[in-house]
Amino acid sequence: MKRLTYKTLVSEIQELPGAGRLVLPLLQVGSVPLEACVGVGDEVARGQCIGRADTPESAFLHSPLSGKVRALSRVVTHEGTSAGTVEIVGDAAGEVETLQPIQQDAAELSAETVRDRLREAGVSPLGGNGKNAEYASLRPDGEPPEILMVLCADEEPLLQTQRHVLRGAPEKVIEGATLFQKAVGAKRLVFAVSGDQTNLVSGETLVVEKKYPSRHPEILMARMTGRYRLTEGRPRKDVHLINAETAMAACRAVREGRPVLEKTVTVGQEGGMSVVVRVPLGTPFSLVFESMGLKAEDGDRLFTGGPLRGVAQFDPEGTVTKGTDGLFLQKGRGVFCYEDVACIGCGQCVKVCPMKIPVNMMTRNCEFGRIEQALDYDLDACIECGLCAYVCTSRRPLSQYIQFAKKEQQKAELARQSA
Amino acid sequence: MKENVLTVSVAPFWHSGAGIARNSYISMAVLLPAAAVGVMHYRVGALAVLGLCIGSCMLAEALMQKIMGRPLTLGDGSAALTGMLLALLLPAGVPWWLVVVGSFSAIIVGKQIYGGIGSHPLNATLVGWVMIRISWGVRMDVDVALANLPNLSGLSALAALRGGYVDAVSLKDVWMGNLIGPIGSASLLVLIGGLVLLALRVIKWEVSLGFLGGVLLGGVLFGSTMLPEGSDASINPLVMLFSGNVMLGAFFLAPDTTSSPSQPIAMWIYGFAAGLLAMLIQVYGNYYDGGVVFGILLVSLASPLLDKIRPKARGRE
Repeated sequence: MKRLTYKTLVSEIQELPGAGRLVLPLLQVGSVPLEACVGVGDEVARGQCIGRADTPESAFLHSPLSGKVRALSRVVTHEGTSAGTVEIVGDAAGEVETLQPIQQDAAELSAETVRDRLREAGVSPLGGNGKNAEYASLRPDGEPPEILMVLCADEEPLLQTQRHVLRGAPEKVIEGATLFQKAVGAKRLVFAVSGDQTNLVSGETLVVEKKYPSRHPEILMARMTGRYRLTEGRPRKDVHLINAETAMAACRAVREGRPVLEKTVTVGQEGGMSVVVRVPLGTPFSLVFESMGLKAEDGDRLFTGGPLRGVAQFDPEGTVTKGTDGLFLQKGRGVFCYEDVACIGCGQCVKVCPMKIPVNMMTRNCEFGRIEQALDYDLDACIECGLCAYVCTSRRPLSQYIQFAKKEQQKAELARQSA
Repeated sequence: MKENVLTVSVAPFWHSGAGIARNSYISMAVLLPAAAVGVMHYRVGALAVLGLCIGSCMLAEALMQKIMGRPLTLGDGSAALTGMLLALLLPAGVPWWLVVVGSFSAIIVGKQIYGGIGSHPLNATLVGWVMIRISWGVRMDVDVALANLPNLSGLSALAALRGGYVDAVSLKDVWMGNLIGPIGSASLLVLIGGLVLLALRVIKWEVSLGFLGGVLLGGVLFGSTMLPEGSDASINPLVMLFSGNVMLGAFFLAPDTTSSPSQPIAMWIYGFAAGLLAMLIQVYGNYYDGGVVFGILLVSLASPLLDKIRPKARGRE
């Protein structure tokens, strides 16, 4: 069985110029749904705000192109929810319309000022297909977290995004992290890096191992605090987790006044080479692949994020959002398919589970909707790293069973509350 | 423009490559040397039993799946592996109908009536063997079944040990299956095959090592009671380890995925208990030639219970 490890750096970040036509969902990671503040036919400048909301949980959206708003419509985003969209036709020529840069030291700034700036510049926890937003949201009681952790390595094998961002501009990542620390009020700042990145950051560091899933948010938090999700007495969100790219975006938002217009994405084809590109938000997947000479054809699998926790896409015309860390293509013959067969009890999933869950028994119960029994087998401890399905001898869709059971549990919970 | 039809599924999009078919075929491949030695010793008789066993197991599986309206899964090789293992447990001279009855019992009673692979509480191969061993005891007796074959003489290793003829059983002979016995008696080759399975992580190594540990302890504890009273000879525990299908049991029968537990401690206990029980039966039991078989079968019954011994999930400690 091949071991899952993270690979090291391969190339420089390439810039991908803006497409003629971009589609930007008004629902981006780490933000409430936004209201479009432009109308069809309006002229927009590069960097102009096109979507906003008045709550503090929002992060604004800006136009990566200067041009015209062609349409306002709705799509199902690649995170799986329905959202309004703004379609823009134009080009990336011209200066970016920026906000007023703030030059005071982080120590002199108030948390409020930084937080407002981040929100107006659209800095939300980038990447992770939105799955990590919960680890980077402020506590509802306003209590500041103990630690701000900045993950500078990538969460999954294949992904190279965060590594490249840190290598490209380490000083900006560090500066941004300090500003972010100010914004959330964390007492300590910790950089989570892989062994070969330690010379790029300063201050407190946490060296993460090469073996998957050492960079999973839950694992990182457990390493930092010694406490797991289910540990009794663990305060909610004692660690606030962002990644290097988010820190860098924070730095640029404050120091240069520049809003988030692009996303750094690792793009590749299974078994082939991969590159790291900086893409304007809203660029269709097909165009990103085209720039590498690749094309999604019938039967292929296209997914955003990494190979173990990513999301398969149904539409090659879907677009890059603030949550897109990776974009990969598996050609028809290389697509692995799950099978609908019984568990044979080989025990591989039990051995591989980082949370020590009896996965074989748990998923058997999940499969048939026996939620109570699945909970007895620690369904709630699962962090959805995907390793069990990766090693399954019967090739059962274990992640699917687990996600299904968790949804069913939520439904039951809601029904109980409303009753 | 024609729209693309993409494949979608939940993550992960990668797989380790493990598979039921892969495990079955690797297991069969590493058993081939031992089977070849069996064929060398017993010629066409062994070949016939091997072929008939594998063939009728596959036929039984196909028939049952047809009758029950389930998808045909001969391709995963599990029925063929069951057949091969059963053949290696049988002596070469058994009549053809006994082989067929054993194979059908294994697949139908041992496996398919519970719903096929993954659902059977006992190892199918062992169920088949026990069925015919108990029903046709004399025909299944190695020493009787092989009596008519030319060029063979002496006693089987287990019969010799039980009779106290320790000197008749040398380590070299039991290694290569030179004494009369079941087709898969070349235990050194079975051991090598088993080590390949361990290296490829096809089987539960905890079960295998636990089993060998149990056998070793049992051999040391009970072995000497097989000697005639007043004898100053001693039994080499290694002889116990390499005779009586112990190696087949340790690497191919006891770690059967479905009927063995999956939790680390449970696997050790299961293997160890099965090994110890196997030696007890081999030394004191009536079906001494089935020590390994009965030992594993009996402990399998406890495996759901053993699986309750599990660590607490992270965060619940």
